[in-house]
Amino acid sequence: MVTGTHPEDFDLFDYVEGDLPARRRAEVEAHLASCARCAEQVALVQAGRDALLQSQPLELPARRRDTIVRNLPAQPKETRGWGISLKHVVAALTPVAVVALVVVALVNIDGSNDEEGAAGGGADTAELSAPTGDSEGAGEALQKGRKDESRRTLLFDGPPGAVALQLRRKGLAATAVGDHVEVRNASRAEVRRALASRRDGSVRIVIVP
Amino acid sequence: MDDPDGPLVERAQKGDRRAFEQLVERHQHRLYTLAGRLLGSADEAGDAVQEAFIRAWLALPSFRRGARFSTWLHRICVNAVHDQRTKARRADPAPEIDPTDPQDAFAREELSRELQQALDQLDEDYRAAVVLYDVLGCSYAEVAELTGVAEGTVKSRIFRGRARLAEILGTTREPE
Repeated sequence: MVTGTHPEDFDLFDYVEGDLPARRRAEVEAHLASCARCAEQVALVQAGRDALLQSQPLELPARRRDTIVRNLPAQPKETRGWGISLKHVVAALTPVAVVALVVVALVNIDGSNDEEGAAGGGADTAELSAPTGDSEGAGEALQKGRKDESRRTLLFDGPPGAVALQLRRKGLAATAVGDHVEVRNASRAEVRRALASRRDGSVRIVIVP
Repeated sequence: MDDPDGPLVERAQKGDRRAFEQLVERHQHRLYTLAGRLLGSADEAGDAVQEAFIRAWLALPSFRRGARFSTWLHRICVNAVHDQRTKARRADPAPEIDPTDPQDAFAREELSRELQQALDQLDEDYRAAVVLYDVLGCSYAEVAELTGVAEGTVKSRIFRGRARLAEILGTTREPE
């Protein structure tokens, strides 16, 4: 004999997703134990979910991406931002910059070391110091990059599809990508909380900013 | 909640192409996965994604701050997919995936192809629901917003879509 009435689709869906409160879950389980039709339906839904979890993300071919960025039309000017484009700003400032450069050059040719010359030299130094600073700090930057990467990666027991599903159930934007899981816009603490029931393992959870 | 795309969007709204290129870089594969799984054709998916990015670029000045850029972009993509499908229906039957084309992301995996063929047989509403929820990992609220239906309907569509998909694939699991 079938126990209780047949649950609605969304009720069975919440059951499959583990979102039902304990009492309702027990009622649905009792029903499923006695109703072959609903039990079969739930099994199909679980099988469909498992198949979808194995689906791999697709990658836009690079040539298509290039076509997109190369062929962007002009943005409508009348409604753009504050009505002033970067091009306009550059166009307006260019004559001023040219005059300033000429003045600085003339002062330097004179060999004088007055305040204007010092300001020009300062500007040159500032411009040149960027690449130098970069090369001096390259090792540091690499180390920082590695630290950042380790801060963005966590390890949990797999499989990746099931980990991604568990994260999504907790409201995080997670996708299984091959042998790892990518989570968007989440903190380490949020990921840890969402996977609290899972043991440490070898599946990498990568937090994507 | 702060939109992680916010600073780039703000620059792109002022006409900064480099900022928009970075947004393309960031969202291209997700949009292509969405379009690809909904359309089942690499070429059509590429066309839809291209169209979606162009529409987004042109509409950016009117994008209201406070809205989430990625949701807005996904919505544009869903609309572009719909238009692409209408256009393809008027032309020829859906083109076959070319398994010999190394550029074709669909061709690289047997599993993907089998799953794709099953997805192609789903009712469009069910397909959109399972692709957005199970493949892209959108929340119910996002799926509801992107498909224009209530969250209860979203759950029902995912439920039926998954069941139908399993029937097509001929795979069932033992009940837990």
